[in-house]
Amino acid sequence: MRRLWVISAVLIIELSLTACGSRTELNDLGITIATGIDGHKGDWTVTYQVILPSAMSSSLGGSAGGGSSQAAVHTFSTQGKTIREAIDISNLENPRKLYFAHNNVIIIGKQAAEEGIEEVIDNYFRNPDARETVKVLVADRKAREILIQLLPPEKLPGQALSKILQKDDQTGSFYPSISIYELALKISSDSGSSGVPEVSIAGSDDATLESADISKKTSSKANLRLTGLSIFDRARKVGTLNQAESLGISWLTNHMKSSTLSFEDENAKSAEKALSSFRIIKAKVKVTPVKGPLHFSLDVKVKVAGELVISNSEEDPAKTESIKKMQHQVEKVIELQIKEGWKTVQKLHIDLVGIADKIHRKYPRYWKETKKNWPEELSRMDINIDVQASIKRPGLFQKSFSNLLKSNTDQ
Amino acid sequence: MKTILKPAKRRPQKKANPITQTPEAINSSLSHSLTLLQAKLGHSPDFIIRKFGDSSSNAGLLAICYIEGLIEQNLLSDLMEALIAEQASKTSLTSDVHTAIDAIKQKIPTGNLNIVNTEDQMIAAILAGNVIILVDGVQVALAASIQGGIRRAVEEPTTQTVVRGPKEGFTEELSTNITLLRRKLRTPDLKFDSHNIGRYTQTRVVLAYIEGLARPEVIEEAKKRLQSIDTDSILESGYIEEFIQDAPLSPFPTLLNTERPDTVAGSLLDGQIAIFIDGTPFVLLAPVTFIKFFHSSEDYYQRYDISTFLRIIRLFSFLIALLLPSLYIAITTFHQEMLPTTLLITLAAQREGTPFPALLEALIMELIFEVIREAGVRMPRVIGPAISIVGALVIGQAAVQAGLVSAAMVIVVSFTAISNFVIPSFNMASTVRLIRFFLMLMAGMLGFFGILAGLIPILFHLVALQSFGVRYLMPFAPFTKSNMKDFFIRVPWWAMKTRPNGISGPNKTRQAPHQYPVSSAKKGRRDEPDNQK
Repeated sequence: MRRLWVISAVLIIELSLTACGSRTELNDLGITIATGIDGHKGDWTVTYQVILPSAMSSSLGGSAGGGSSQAAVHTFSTQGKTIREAIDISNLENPRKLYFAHNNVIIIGKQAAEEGIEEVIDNYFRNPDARETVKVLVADRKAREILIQLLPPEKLPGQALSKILQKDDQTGSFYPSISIYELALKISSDSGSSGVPEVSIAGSDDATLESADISKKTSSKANLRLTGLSIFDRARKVGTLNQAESLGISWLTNHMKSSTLSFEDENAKSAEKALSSFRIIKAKVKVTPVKGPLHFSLDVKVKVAGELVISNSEEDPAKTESIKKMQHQVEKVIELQIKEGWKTVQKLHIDLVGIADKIHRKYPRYWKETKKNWPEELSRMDINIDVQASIKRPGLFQKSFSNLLKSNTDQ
Repeated sequence: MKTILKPAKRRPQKKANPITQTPEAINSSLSHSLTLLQAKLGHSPDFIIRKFGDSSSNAGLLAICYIEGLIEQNLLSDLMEALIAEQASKTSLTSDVHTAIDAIKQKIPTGNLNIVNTEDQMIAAILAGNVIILVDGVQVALAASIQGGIRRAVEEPTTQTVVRGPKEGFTEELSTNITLLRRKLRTPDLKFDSHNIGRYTQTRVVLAYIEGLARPEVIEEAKKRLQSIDTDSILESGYIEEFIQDAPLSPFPTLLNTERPDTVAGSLLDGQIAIFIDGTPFVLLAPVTFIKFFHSSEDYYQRYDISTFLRIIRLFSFLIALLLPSLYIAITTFHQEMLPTTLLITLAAQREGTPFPALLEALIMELIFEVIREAGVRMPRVIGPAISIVGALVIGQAAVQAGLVSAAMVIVVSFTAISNFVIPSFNMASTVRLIRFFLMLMAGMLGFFGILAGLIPILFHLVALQSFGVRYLMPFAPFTKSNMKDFFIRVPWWAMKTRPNGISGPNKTRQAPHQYPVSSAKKGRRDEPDNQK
């Protein structure tokens, strides 16, 4: 019994003397929803978008009742010789502990992206409090300028940006989103390059977006928008792709999940263009490098299934031949899109598709010699594209409506 | 820690009964005996002596004595009628012992009639509710058992209610309880073993089991443990439970108590033993396993699929009741990264401006709930609604609106409390309540690590725990495949072929094979049922 008392006394003292070391109450946390990084080696500016929880919930008890009149985030920046130093300095102006586990998006400023992002990645991999699954964006200006903007109707701009990326992946697949982990993996691979979505402020008068008053209006003159795909060669940004080029890269990297593409009915008799739309439900792209006698060529096999969502065509979707014709037209459009992307890759000499890794894996012996003059090799590569599109659902309506009207007037 | 886990040392067997210290034969003089009884029972107002016959003639004088409240008045008047007739005839009232006793025996309309020889036996018989018949000049007395008096009727059990199933519950009267059990188990193999425990209370404690189904070792062990109890009083089954349980210092109960005759009957058929205690409707069951505390007798009356679902719900609520507040504390103070962002923001918004750390807030709320709950049990029924209104308004709404506690904490505490009520066994529910506080402290100090550091010793303890030689976590650790049929899942009755291994004795087969119901139209496929298991 005596021993029991001793043991329990020791346990109680031991446990209570730990003094709740790593404990942090929720109201001591500065939950950072987005981070921006500007500057260059030796002089970094880190911008934080911190949530104001009280402004988030209007119906709850307590002093907060503002709701829309109050901005839900507060943005501030600190400066330091390294990124970590800058973060630690934040305690001088911020009473709460910055908490990065819920960081939704990291925005790399224009200068930082051009000068090199090694330190950013190192910071993310070395410190467990920041997740390496955070989405990366590149700004076409200073990251801070993006982070001080609101993004109505969402309350949290950082979260909204990551949601935009997610939605684009699901519905448009124009700029495939990338996490810092994937980015690090890609730029350190054989191909050594990667695309990162680029965000910018479209429109004019962007100062209005900095105030919560914006939510009192029904529209804003400016808004945050994804505008391109930044190309990283190793740790440096070397260029930007436009939407069409980026879409081609999406196809080639098998990032195409869903998108709507328009195709023209070439056989249309009428003068005006007969455009129809095809929504991709399922797409599978297989890219294989094939070793030829002189140099490598690229085999691209695409299998697409989708539905007809708009039809101005004179074809009747109830007929098998018509469907086949339409499918053929879709195939052509996809082929063109892929070629657009491929053209850019060859022009820039940057292997955004990751062919280098594929060659390394498939022909490890030849890779050693190919590696030496890989950019030239890349520009010499041929591409064979084979697209198989199938229209699974023509929709509930058979003939196109314009056709229907036409045939009625003819009678 | 070892001292906690060690099984209780059994005390050496020593029987000391202060009443039987000097056995003295009954004096043949009636007046002497009566004076002695008066002296021993302290001239108490409910002790009645009724004399028959002419005291001057001194021939054929007899007397009856009893305690008023312990006997049945109707039977007493029958008895007195017979005695008066006998006394008037004066035929048998000679000094010869045998003729006198035999004559009275033949006339008295009472079933249970015993001869007592000593004074102490006589007093014990009076206190047990017998009527003592003394005849002048005879050295023995007759004890007629016509117990009665005010008793509670058989009612629906209040603590263990069911929707479907028998609605009768045990009462305070031992003989009634045994009768209730007898009605369910009409077999000569149902055996009872009676003990009188308690120097002052002389409480009747009856061990019941079905011979052949219960393990003989368990019966022996239970008898031994009951016999070694030497105490002043046994007023409730809780006394016995504390005296005979395997791990006296463990918070976990190793005996199950029930108010329901059907539960007792079912348990006896599983090979368990039951301990009835006079004066309480709660009957103890042993040996039990951990999972038994989460079974309700209704599980066996409802469809097996529903019962299985309900059992899983109960185990889930057990985990909620045990862990929810500590998980909340751990996640909100140590592991915020585990929450989805939106939930984190919602919680953070609620925590904004609350004055106490999460641990303290949870402790306060839990304690307040325990106070309300205790008040709800103790207070007079009339004030019941007042307490619930005060509890709901003050704790639920006002505290949140005043910004003293966060709304999420109120949800956590109330859901924990409700989950706690799902556990069918009250004493297991109390254990969970107790351990919850310990885990909350651990979570508040060390987060998830603390919860695990609290749970692992508890698990060690549970694995080591035994109840009458049966492992507490029985079908799970050690893993017993055949017992799984009545663990999380309750298989249909036609598939319940054997009694639980390890608990039941020699006779393991519950029913004949091929009990899968087949309609007579499909009799041809009678060989299928084996696949249906």
